[in-house]
Amino acid sequence: MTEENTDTQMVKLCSSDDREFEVEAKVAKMSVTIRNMLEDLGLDNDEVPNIPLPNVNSQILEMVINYCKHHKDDVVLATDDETTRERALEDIDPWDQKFVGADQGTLFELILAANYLDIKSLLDLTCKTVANMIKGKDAEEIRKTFNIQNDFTKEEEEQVRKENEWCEEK
Amino acid sequence: TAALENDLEAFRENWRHDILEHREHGHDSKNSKGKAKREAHPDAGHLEESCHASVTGDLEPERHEEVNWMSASDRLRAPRPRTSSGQAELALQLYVDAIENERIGKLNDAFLLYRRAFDLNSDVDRLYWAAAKGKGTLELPDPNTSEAHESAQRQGVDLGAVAALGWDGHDEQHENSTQARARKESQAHSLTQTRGHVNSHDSVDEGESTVTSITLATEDLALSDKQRREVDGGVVTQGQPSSSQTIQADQKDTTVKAARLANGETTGEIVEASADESTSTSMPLFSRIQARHPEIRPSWASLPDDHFEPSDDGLDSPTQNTTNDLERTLEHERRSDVPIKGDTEINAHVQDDDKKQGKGSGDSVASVSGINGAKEETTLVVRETRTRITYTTHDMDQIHFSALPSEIIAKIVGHIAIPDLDMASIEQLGSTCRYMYLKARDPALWMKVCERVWNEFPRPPETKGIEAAEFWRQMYINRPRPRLDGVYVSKESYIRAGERDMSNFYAPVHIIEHYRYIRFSSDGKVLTATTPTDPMHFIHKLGGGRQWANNDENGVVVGTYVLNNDGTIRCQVVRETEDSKKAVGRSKRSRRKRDQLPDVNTEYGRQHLDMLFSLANANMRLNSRLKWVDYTIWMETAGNPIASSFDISQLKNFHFVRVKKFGSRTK
Repeated sequence: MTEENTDTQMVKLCSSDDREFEVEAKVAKMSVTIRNMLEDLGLDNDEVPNIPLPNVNSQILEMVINYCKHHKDDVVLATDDETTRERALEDIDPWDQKFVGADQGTLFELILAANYLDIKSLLDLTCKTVANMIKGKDAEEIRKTFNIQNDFTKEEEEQVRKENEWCEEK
Repeated sequence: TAALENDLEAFRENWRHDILEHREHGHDSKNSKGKAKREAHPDAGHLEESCHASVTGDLEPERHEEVNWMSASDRLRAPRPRTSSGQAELALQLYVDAIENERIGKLNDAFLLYRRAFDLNSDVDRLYWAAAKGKGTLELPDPNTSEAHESAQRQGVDLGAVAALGWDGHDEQHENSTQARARKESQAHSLTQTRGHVNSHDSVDEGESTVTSITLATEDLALSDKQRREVDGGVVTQGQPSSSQTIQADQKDTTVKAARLANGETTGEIVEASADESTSTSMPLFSRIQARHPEIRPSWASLPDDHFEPSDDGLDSPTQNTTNDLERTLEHERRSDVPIKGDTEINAHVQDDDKKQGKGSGDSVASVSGINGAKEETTLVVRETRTRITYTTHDMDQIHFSALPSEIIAKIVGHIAIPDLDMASIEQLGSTCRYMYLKARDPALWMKVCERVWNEFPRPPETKGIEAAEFWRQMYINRPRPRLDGVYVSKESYIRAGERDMSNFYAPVHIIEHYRYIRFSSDGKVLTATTPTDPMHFIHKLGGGRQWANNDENGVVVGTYVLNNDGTIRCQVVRETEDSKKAVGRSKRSRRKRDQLPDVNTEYGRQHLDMLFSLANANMRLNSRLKWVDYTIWMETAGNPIASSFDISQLKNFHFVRVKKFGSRTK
């Protein structure tokens, strides 16, 4: 079977809440995890392989599939290409920006899903988004944004403040 | 049991040896030590009732000790007494056995035992630790006596009965070696504890836990005396190359075990107190927080190797001691936080694993990546008191930041730092909570950042300890580097005489002002401009982002800069003159001429601006002054390029102007 055949074949992805999504193998294979699974299964033309993804719920899986569909034709650059990896944070393309523009909880779930499914570009995108949410905020704003409890003691907090004096706005 | 017997035998050998040595050295202040010991461990009363060995150490101690140890090993061999057929009791026993099995590495057996124990009584762990706790409170010395402990310790007196019996002589020999002493103290201490139990506890479970302790203690002491001295010697002289890996490993082993043992017994207050003391005064905040949250893996253990080898021949290096010390401090400090619960997790981790399958998956279990057995034990201990990012208010429908695994958070932090070098945001993030503090101070992160800024580095410290952790960050802060969160501006002004009018009555002069702007990027680019427009109206034109390119309208020219190792910055900019642009345009039109660029046959030349600056701090601000060192302009001409240097004394230095939009504070 040729490469193209395997790519146009459909696969079924089954979310944790038992919803099935049928997608092209090419789309599904953007996830390294799924690609490996498919390789292990050994694709057969006759049947549509069913891949259970117990760590991803249907809402998130649907989003991930949308993302993969949108990016399936992206030129795959060498995975560890420094320049692509280090593209400045503001260089997020508008579609992606909209894609990750949902609420924080969804964003984190996307991160976890991208991590589990091993979709590097999505993981980078989501992590960059979180990084952008942190950048330029002061500690208190970051705490508020992410609901983080300040667990420093008074004394520690004072010391941290001193240690960070060098970069205070001047 | 055969192995155990051997260990015991070895221990007895040591013991005898020590006592002999001790007799040679004489023994003053024996009684006071005995007293200190008695005070410190009220429950040792049992011990004294049954046998006076520990207190009146002079009276043929070996014999009594022997009796004690024999009884202990007998107990081990004897079938477990079943005082009651109650299931709870049996479960407890199984549980204790499981702990023992786990300790000696029979994890499978331990696992089965744990399972059986929990089958019989699902509360067995609580039961066990309740017992241990009860014991702990019994033994916990009141503040006064622990003060006595400390003062005794200061006098260089070993407190345990063991010491009273002979180790203090040994100790005095090496008094200058505090590390060695501390270690021995904890050994001695654990031994004392053990003996205390042998004599004082009859009930099944406690007897059993005693067995555990004994094996530990014997193993500690099974280090031959010679070996021990070698180790001590190594410590004192800061390590000959001869102090071999095994010894180091042993030492580590001992420390860990002693700590663990003391852990189980909820005593070892001395070591703890001193550790606390030293930590609160001398340890930097990083290590202190790290100490409390060891599960956030110290990343100097995982620094990428491809950049350089920080010369860690690991275990062989004498500096290993510091690490050891640190680890010990970690143990104790952590213990002071959550003594009982932590223990449960340590000892019952097999069972824990068994039970927690359904539990949340966020538990990032510290990976057991030990080089040797000792390391593995440390990582087991490491599982307690996980720091999390805790939340203030929480919408249960949403996943919280804390659900993200550690490596993802590191990735996020990495995206903030690189490529923008937005370390101000990193530091702000580090101020939010302890967990983030550790993430934000990750030495690997700061190392990468430094590598982006400079090409060469001073050699990092050889340890992987605290200094190494702060090394890169301190370099980033203190070594001269151009600031990226704003623009350097210099204002030139001069007076030019104007044209006189006919009457010669007026002699007008013109004040000419112009500004030079330089903005540095994180990736070696530089934007320069020379313009009469004042900063208020010009700075936004140096916006950066996608604008790191020439901008003809604004006269912004892009160039490159290099940070030299002597702290100077060389900026090189090529300025196209009007003529050279024409030349380019023309050659583009004609294919034939394209290959002839630069068109040296014409007069059109480009200017190469070569500027050398040094950085200085000014007005309490880091790197806020850019001083001219050299400024040369090369003109491309038909013949050789013509160089013209400026008199730098006539040039005004640059001052840094922070621009919110450029820095981290983009809202």
